[in-house]
Amino acid sequence: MNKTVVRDIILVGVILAVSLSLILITRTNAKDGKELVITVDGGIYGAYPLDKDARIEINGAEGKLVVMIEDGKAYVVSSTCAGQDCVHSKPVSHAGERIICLPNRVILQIKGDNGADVVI
Amino acid sequence: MKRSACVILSIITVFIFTACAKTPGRYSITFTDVFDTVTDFIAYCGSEDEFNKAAEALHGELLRLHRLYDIYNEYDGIVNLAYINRTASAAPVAATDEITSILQAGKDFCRDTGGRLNVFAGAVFSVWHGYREAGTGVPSDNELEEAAAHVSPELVHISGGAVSFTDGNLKIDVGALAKGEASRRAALLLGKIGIKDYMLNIGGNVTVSGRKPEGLWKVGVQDPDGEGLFTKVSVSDTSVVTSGDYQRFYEYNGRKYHHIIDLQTLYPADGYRSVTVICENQQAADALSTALFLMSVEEGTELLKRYGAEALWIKADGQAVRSEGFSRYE
Repeated sequence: MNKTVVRDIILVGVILAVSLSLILITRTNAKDGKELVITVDGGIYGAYPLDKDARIEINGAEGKLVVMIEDGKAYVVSSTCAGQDCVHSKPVSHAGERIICLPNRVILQIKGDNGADVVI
Repeated sequence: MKRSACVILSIITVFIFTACAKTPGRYSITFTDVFDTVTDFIAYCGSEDEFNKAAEALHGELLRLHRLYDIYNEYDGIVNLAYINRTASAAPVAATDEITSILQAGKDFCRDTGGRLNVFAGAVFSVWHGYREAGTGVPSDNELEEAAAHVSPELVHISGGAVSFTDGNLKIDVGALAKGEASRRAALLLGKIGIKDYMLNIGGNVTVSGRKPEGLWKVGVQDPDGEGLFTKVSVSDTSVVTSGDYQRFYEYNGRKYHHIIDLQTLYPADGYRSVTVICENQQAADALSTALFLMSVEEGTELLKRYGAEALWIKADGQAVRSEGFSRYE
């Protein structure tokens, strides 16, 4: 084979390898441990790692919520809302799962990679 | 020849790489003030400004439809379903196309489902709604049977843009259609303002349009027992809707009472944990997910064929049944 052709092939190979590794680096950087993200009225209230137990007090749109993180699961201990749907919701631990308190406009969501844009 | 091929390949590689860098941004927003649920909007747009404008227009449209289809509150200057429920037995009420068309669709779905899906059975649903809100107790048979005497679609007349009832106890409740209809109208609006690649989720009613830069949209279907995802579907230009017994419910004396009421037993339907429907028509997808929850898999299969839709049933015992073409999305 002609030397120039060999060099061109190597060049193409290098460009492809660089492109691919850049894509891979961007992908892996996005991956991390699961965390509980709390939003109030659309704004981020805080993000908490699920592997660390915590007690979180939230000032919602109408009143207060108390959230616990325990053994990798998050749940609402108490809320001042009328319906108490959030308190009755099952603990969440999987990526995409949510607990919602509509009166307080509070959303607790587990962030993590489950490969889905939305969970219904 | 070979050399030029190599050069062309290099140019293509560089081109692909720079094209990636220009990928439109992914933006998202969540609303908590429409349809008593959470709404997510994710879109790929050229700029944040473009997204914010689209999100604002979308929010305005959803709020407008939410008020029109609201059966619990009336609003100044709006003829909505709450107002119609209160007054349409006394005199015909002039209503907008958003209302007359959803009521007409309600009549069609009621006929197509042999009365299983009945948006005119608000009298029965409101009895359960009251107990669900209180979070305790169950209605008496008497209470339910009395309400069930006022659910016939024949008692509702739509003529010349006006709605009237010939029964003072009849109530409309478009809970099984409103989110689908709102999704349909929202999609029209987003198309008009030039947003092509997006996902809209109105409380379990998902509409997807176009694609993400990396491919199809991925919709996860929750495991009814709360153990992560049951499955994932990859979709484009269609809608995916799940009705589940875990979405709205209360517990009383150790039993769960959810929000999908079977008009034959007048109790929450107990055949399935969830039903997921994939259908291009947003309104049909929404209606079918509830309708299939209220009938056998065989009857549901017949209905799906009529709408060119696919479904995944997760039965009460946890067994999953898929319609013929469902798995090609998984």
